[in-house]
Amino acid sequence: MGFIMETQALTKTYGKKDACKDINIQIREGEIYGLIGRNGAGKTTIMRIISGLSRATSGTYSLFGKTGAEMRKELRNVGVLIEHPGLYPKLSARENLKIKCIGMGVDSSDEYIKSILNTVGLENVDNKKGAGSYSLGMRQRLGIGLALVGDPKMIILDEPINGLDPQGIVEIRHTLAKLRDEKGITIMISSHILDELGKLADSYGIIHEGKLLDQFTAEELHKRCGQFVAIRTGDNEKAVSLLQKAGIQNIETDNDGLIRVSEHLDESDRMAKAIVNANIPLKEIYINDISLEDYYLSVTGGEHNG
Amino acid sequence: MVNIMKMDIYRLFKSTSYKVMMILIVIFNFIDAPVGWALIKLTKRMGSKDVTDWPSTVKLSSLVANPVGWLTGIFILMSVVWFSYADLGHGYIKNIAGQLPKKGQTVMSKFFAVEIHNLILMIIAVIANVLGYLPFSKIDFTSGMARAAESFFLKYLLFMAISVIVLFFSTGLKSKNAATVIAILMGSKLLSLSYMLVNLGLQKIPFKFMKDFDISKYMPDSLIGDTNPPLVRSLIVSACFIVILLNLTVSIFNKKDIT
Repeated sequence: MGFIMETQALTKTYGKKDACKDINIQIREGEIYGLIGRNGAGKTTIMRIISGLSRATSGTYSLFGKTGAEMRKELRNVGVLIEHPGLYPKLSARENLKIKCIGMGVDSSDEYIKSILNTVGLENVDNKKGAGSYSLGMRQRLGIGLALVGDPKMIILDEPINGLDPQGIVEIRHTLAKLRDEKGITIMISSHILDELGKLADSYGIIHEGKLLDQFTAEELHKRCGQFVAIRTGDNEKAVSLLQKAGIQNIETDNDGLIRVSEHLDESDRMAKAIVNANIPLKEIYINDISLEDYYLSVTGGEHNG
Repeated sequence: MVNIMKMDIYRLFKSTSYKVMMILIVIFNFIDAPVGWALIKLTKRMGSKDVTDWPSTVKLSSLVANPVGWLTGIFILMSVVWFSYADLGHGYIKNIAGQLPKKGQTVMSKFFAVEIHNLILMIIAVIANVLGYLPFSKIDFTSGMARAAESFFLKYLLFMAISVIVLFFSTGLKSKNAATVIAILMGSKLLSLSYMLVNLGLQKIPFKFMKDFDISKYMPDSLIGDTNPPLVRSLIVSACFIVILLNLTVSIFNKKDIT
């Protein structure tokens, strides 16, 4: 899969302060890309630039392989929900959606609007009530619905689960997973709730003080964060062979010379004993158990206040 | 562009503030004649002899030629402020502006919707005014209608220019408060006081042609107050304000980030 969106040294400056600097993000087609960072880290700024709401001070980005004026046309295929959902509070969910349908020149029939409401779980919403009277979760879902008008290829969601109750968070997660899996929509999402992002995203970018500190796939994250027995020995080849003979299968050796055993985590004592008994020098052995949040903190070197 | 215009017109007819303003304009224009009639009656009953009689016949042309009284003017301009700022204030603009080839298209479409809005409210104001006169005076539907239509058109154009000034503040500068102040000042024609001060200042400039210069002759809110505004000057003033300020608003809007 190629990159659907790619930024090159994207920078936004307000006065003398860099809201984001030299950002190089790559998002693959059909994936959910999670942007992680504390308040004011620069996530919203990046999302605003990519969605065409804000201009970059310097740097460029491409969408669907196009840049410049051609890329500007492609922005039609990028739906957005930035910060809080922008809704007309006195108009119903249907009317809010219809306004965007008319503006985009797409189907504004009741059937189409109903299909969007179904997708975001608002099919039973009372259409006599204005959106201002909806719960936060309903407004967030309507905001996602607005982003979906015109069947975009990509949607950008800034903190869409902020302030939602656990049930609402789960519903949004399922909705987004459905959009990716069934409609193939690429999703860029930011959130403070790292556990949720961990369950949803295929790739991640960590933003801190306007800089992209790290970018990795879920697979890479799993390697870095997942639970495993970490073993460092004087002879890894011999140690791996020994562990395999003992019936342990999920063993990998990384570039740093660390043996990662992803099974039998409760048998680290037995593994240590076996290595020592085979006269292989054992340098260290421990259970690696860090979450996405721990990883984020280790990368940013600070306390997460999200 | 056409789609965005359709969107703003749809939004306009769904807007509660537009409906409220329409009702207020109907009420205030309808009661204009009954209140005037009642005042004359009361004043006469109190013994005053300096009161002119209530006209037995009113020319439709005189009502058509003056569609925007100060209160109607304020109501229409306030509605322009609320309508043009609504998408910015509620953040709805973020849902769509990024997906347009140029963000400035939203300004042009708002201008287009605002002009439809103004035309409808001005026509409604005249109709309500005429209906208010019906029980108290005969309406002469025939004489002077061509001149009245011209005056209505010119006042519509001048009001268009005033609306663009309001749009510049509400949408270009994204300041609802400044737009509201300007709407009230221009709608009520209170700015004529500041024009007098400007004239006093200009007269101090040592150029001969400045001695007779009167800025109010070139301001749409002053010209709209004339019973019969001068045709050519009104056209030029309206065109200048509309072209310059609309382009400026679009240009600022295109350059500014949407927050």
